[in-house]
Amino acid sequence: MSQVAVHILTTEGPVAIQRITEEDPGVSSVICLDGLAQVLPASPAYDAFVRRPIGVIERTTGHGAYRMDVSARIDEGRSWQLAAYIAHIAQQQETSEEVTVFATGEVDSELKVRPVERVSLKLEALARQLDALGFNTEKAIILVPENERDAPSQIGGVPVRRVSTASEALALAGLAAPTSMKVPSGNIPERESGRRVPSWAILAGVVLVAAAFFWIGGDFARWSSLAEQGRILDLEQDMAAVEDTFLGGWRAATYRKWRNVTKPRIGRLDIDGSTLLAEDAAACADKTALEKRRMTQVYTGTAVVCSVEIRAVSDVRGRVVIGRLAYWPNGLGNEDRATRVMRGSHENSGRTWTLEFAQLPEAGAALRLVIISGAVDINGSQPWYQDLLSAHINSAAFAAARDRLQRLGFDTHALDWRRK
Amino acid sequence: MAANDPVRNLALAALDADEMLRDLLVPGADVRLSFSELYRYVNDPAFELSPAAQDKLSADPAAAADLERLIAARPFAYMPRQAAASTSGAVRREVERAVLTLTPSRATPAQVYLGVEIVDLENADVPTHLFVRSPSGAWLRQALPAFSGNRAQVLLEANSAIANALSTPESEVYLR
Repeated sequence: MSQVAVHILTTEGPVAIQRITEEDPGVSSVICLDGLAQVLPASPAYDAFVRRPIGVIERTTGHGAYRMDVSARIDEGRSWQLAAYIAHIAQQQETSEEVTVFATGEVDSELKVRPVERVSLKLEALARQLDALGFNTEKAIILVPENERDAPSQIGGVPVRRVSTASEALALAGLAAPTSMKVPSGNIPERESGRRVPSWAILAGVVLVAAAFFWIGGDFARWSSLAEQGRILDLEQDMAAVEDTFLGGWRAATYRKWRNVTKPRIGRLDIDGSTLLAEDAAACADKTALEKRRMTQVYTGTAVVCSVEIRAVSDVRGRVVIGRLAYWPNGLGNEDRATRVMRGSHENSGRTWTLEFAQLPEAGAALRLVIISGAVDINGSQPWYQDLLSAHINSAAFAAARDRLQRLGFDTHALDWRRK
Repeated sequence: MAANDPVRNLALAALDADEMLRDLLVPGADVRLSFSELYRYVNDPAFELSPAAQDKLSADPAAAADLERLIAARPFAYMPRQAAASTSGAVRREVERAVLTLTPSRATPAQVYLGVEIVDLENADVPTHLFVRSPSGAWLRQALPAFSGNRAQVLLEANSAIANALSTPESEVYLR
């Protein structure tokens, strides 16, 4: 259990972070006042600070929703971030030494500590209340952003240190920097988090069943092998070739049915998208100043859309989520091919697509996200994307491509976004 | 129509005057809850009914019917009563334009998160509050905070009247 007590410096005096508790991943992170059902206005900013892809806490802890209780109100700025980051990391670590940390500073996505306002007032407020706080001043530290060159060297015997990165702050607080990002753990039902059946055992079962049903030939085993390797186009072509032979159609149909029965259950696919907005194109360069808004199907605002981030996560262990994000600056399917097609970054049970627009979306610009999920990642050529990324969702071309994947054991979802 | 629209306010005042006149002309009749109070209760999140007004409302079927008509008129979303309660303890109501969830807090089990997610955010007035009609017919109101993206979230005491009503499958919910 960590012995690090963390306080947020405010102009009204230090505010203690009383506790940080994991919440259900389906809720937004909140800052609450003193254990009450009173959510502070800074909560939406705290949620953004926690949750991927922007937030830095989930990247470190693997969990995307927390409740942080504080002893007094804090304002809607971002100067609480450094203290909150230290408190989150402290919670993850075992420390025997009691340390009291007072901190102010904004933490950006690269874990650099950025300047904040009214630091001198915050330090004055701390100085006034220091005696009443009752802690060991020899085991305490005050952390402020690097630019505060006029900050005193100590307050009431407690050293003041200027920091430029979160890792510096952690080291001064006696904490180790997190070594690696953790895999999100939320949304996995309890009953599925138990022991997994080894993949070799599944394959062995597949081979045994195949041998039992198809004592002549090895179609079943060969198709299963192709499927296991993710060579889905090869699988489709191989099955098509066999379908023309004696009883081949029956064997292929049987295999398709078996594959659909054994594929991972659909479960819930959580899709969360954000647009990052700026007042003008030049402002897109400062990523920390962008306004993040949850994505809706149509964007009718006037701001410049600098980038989008979309994350899809399945709550079913063993279900692989893949897909493509296509950018159509002149409208969906209005050119021979999309200007950009993104594969997305792979995560455990999910994927994130981040697109920073080189050509900013004007009126009529469109995005199409196609998410394919199934038992394995797909390797090799994937011709079905051509229609999935360009055809209207209700069109015959789109339906044909979706059905083609359905026959091969994959589910397809498509989402459209456009600028009005 | 704007919240402080003078024509609307004049019409409400006329309705109130009419009601007061009727009350005065009928000897011994209880003074009814005015229509303008009901209107403000439904449309102005900052307006609260006094305890006396709530007593009048519960004792006056005509006023309750007026209130129901006001709430049911052009809501952002209506969530009818459900067939059965969730077996998981979490509450989820989903209609075309909105999803309402009630998720127990892991940090403080005596509290629950009320989440409201809406679609079509760009093309509609964002709801500012929700009304719940409990199986007994009583109405409860919950103000919603500003939406962050398409989601608003409120932390409630699990044993509060509004949380209990939202947990009851037979209750109906209006988002306005």
